Amino acid sequence: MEAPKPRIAREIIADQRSAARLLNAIRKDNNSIQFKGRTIRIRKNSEVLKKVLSSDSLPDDR
Amino acid sequence: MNIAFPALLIFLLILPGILFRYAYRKGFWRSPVRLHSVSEEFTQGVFLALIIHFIALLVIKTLFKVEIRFDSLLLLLTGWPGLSDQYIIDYIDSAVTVPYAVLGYAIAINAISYLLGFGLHWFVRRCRLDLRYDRLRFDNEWHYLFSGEAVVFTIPRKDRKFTIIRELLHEYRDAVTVITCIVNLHDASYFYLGVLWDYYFDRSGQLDKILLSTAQMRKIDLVPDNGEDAEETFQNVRGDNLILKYENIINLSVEYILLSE
Repeated sequence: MEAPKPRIAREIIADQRSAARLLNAIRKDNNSIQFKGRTIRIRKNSEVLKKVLSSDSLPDDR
Repeated sequence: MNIAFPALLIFLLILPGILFRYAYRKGFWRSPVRLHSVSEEFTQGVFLALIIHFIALLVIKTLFKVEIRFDSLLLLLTGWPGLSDQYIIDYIDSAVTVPYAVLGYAIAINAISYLLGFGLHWFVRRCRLDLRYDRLRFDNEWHYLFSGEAVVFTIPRKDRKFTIIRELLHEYRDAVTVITCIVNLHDASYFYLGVLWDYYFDRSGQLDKILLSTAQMRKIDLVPDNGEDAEETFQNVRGDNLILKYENIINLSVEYILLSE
């Protein structure tokens, strides 16, 4: 079952100039882009993952 | 008796196991099921078929009070050397007193096996058991990688709780998958960067093409002589989508970018 693409991402990708701006921002490690007057935050790290991995759990012994 | 008949009968007996396994592995995936070796497929098919037939016959025996003639089945399977064809035909006629019931059983057991396999696939995906338990992971690594579900595998196994997986996948719904790859074209290599839009498999289940939306590229050995950063030499590729053949890709990096307002 393919997950539907999120709305913001779809909107940005559908607009070539915005998508190009997104790629430029990713290459230059920028944290945000402007899209239709809105500021879109760009993150590479997940908050949930950070929380889980920094919890007290010991590393998996596999 | 012709040896083709027992072979056909064995195939029909194993078929529910094969169908169950196929439907479980295929499920909702678009990618074709990658077949393993014949011996592995056969062994697992036999094992599953035995379980399916055992349960089905137990149900039939309980519900319809039908006596199952396993001796007849053995005779048909072995061909019983020394017996004449006419004897076997007469034996089949006497054993199969209700041919429609046998045909109905064959059709029903195969249909139910397929649906059960499909249902189990749905259940495993729905409950995210394939992300929780490595043993239940499907043979579709490209989906896990490209959809972002692979991030779950970075969590230690004992911490992969249902709520954490749900929370993580919810966060990654706002993500785009960005592909950076080196592609060899003729005698030059190029960097390609783009947002993954879709991907396709060949008939054997191997990744065949990836479709990038709004791609950028630069020649890999291009070093600007004016002191400009090589990153600045990236050019937008004209067109809405760029199709890259997987066979031309030397290496590929996948990055999940989370977007939020």
